[in-house]
Amino acid sequence: MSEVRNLFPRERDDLQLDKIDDTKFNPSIRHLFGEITQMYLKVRNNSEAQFSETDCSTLLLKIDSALQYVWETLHTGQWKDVDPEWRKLYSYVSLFKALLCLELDKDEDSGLVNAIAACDMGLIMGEPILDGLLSNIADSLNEKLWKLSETKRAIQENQKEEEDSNECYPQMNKENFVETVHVPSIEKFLLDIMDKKPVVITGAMDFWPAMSESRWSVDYVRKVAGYRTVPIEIGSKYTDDAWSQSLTTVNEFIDNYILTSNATAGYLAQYQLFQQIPQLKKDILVPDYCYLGTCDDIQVNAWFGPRGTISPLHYDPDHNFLSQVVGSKYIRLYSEEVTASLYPHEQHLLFNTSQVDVEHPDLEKFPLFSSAPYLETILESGSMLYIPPRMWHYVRSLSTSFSVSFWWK
Amino acid sequence: MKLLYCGFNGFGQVEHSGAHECSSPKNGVLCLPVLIYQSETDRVVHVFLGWSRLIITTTNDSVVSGYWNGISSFKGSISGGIKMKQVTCNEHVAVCIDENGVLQKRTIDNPRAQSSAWEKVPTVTDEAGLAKFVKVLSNEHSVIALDEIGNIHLPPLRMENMQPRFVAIACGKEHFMALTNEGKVYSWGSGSRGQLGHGSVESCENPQEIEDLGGINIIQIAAGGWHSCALSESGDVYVWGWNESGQLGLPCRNLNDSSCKSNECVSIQSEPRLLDHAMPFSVDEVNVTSIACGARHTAVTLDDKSGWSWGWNGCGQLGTGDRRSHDAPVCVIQDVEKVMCGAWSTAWLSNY
Repeated sequence: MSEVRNLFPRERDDLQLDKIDDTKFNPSIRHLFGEITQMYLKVRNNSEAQFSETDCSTLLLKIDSALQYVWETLHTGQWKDVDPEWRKLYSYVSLFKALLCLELDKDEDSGLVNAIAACDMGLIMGEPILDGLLSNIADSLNEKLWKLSETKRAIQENQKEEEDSNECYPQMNKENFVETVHVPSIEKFLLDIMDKKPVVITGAMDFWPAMSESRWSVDYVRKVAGYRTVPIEIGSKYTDDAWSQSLTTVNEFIDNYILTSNATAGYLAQYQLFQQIPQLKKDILVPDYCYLGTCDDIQVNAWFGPRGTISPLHYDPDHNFLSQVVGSKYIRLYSEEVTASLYPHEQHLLFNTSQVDVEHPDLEKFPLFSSAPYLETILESGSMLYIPPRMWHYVRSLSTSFSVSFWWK
Repeated sequence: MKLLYCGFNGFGQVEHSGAHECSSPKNGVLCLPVLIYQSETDRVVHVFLGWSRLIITTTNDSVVSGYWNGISSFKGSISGGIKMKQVTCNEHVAVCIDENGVLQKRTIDNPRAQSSAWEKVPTVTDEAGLAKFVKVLSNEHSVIALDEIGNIHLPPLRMENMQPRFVAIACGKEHFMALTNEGKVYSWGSGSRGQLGHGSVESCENPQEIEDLGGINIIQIAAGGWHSCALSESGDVYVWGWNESGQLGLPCRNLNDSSCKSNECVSIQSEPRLLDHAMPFSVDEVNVTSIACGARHTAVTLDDKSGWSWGWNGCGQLGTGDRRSHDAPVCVIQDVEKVMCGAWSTAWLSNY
């Protein structure tokens, strides 16, 4: 355990607290943070004794109070308008909590599990601090737990992945198939494809570690990230009333939503997983075509879920490479010109989403929909789909699926 | 007169010798209501419950306890010679209504203004002179006050063109509500979690009547962090807004032991909803007498003098004796007449 412990900063100076501008905080939370920092340093430096269990539980309560207070602040007003210093504060307090979790449960797995959860909350809610320290700690702890669970795992290994079933395959029309191009040159992409039409690009992912030496699979994801906490969406699509978001560990997500058929669908969707878990980022490569864009900021999102997840018909403002790593997805595309036939929602938050259930349209309510021309494809593992900006798309997974999307402008 | 308190105590706002193991003051939470004030002679005029402090105003004095000007577990008078009727404060300023109905303020937690004194708040006056203030509330960013004529002030401004006469106001983290003398409810501010009750998550700059409550005579309103509550003349409770911790008393998916089926779960309720007959207190013989909302919890008292609470319980604010959140009302106390909520706390008032 001491090697993990050594990852935690030991001296006040190592914490680089001068990089956070505490004048942005309210006086009482500043006071509380000061107390917590002092107590953290005591715990960090007195590995044995001195710090009693009562002291630890007092500190844990102070830490949880601070986290809850910052959580409320982050949820007040628009997420993007909250001063980033508050997110840094969340990350620091999460770091302190992780150490305390290890301290409170010295000999138990639960200490490790709680410490990972604390780091992940810091990564999800906070801002990066101390060179990705929270990621590093969570990764080391995940590896430790993976090794500890090896014996248990051997017994469960006979769990089989789902057999492929054709019954969920859509009726398709060859005339509507999206064109397929094998690794186009940058010039060809720029001249013939970019901004003009959607294409399925094959061969461009062959060198991804995720497609070769670090072949992604449910077990691989468990190994690299099983004990990590991630946000998931519950409910088959985001336009449903009962749709909600929830936090869960990757293992729980796999057990409850991927390996067992659950009445409610769960989907790890549109999430910046690769920032939280750099181990997985190493396995993917940003397509060269993305650098044709005018902006260096390329948004990489993970989409991991069981068969039957649906992204309702919608459009995004940016170029998109939807890259299929595991499994396959059915995708339907409509051009911007036919927007009127797609009946976008009227509320301003859903203006880019169609009201039509693409595969079961209510044609009495949406009569124009049936005559709107479209393209379609089944995106297989190893292929990526280029979706031009503002092109409407509908996506349904046909199997357990892991895709990576690259948004760029 | 007795005052009982449960919830967050991380700044020593309540002195208490821990009788219950979960209520150790050192740990910073009180999970069961504890007596924090009792007097045969002085009447409690007003209680302010903040996140890090509380201020009890009696006929005799106003005493703050908790975090005050850089010190934790502080306790002392803040009246500075003023007889107060009400006081509110956020992290930067305290505002009170004095015995003459005048708004006064003093800065707090400013190291350069340790001895800051009360001063008059500039407000709009009519030709007839200054209307007396009857209610003042604050959140982190605003102070809102109501005068006896029924005008709402955001000092130094007064809200203009308001036809109705208001008799009560409520203040959430990002939204406001006001009640008219005809029992109608208006709301404005951020609607991001449905807290305005207008049937959407849109925001609203100016007060707008909550149409779904039309025809129901509302007599009390309460605003939580991101949720709202109203009490009708006939004793019914309506709730709307964010149900993130079960603060609406509706099935909440986030609670582990919630028995709700997924399709019944409510995350955001954007129009007022009657707490229906599944609720233990929704029988015809008992009526709700007072309502209050904390940041993420709600509490009521009934005319049989029982007290009920639900929602987030991370600091013991429900008074259940533990820290488990509930998405349905729990009866936690008897012999109380009125309830008030701070962000993470609840105070129960009993008159004997």
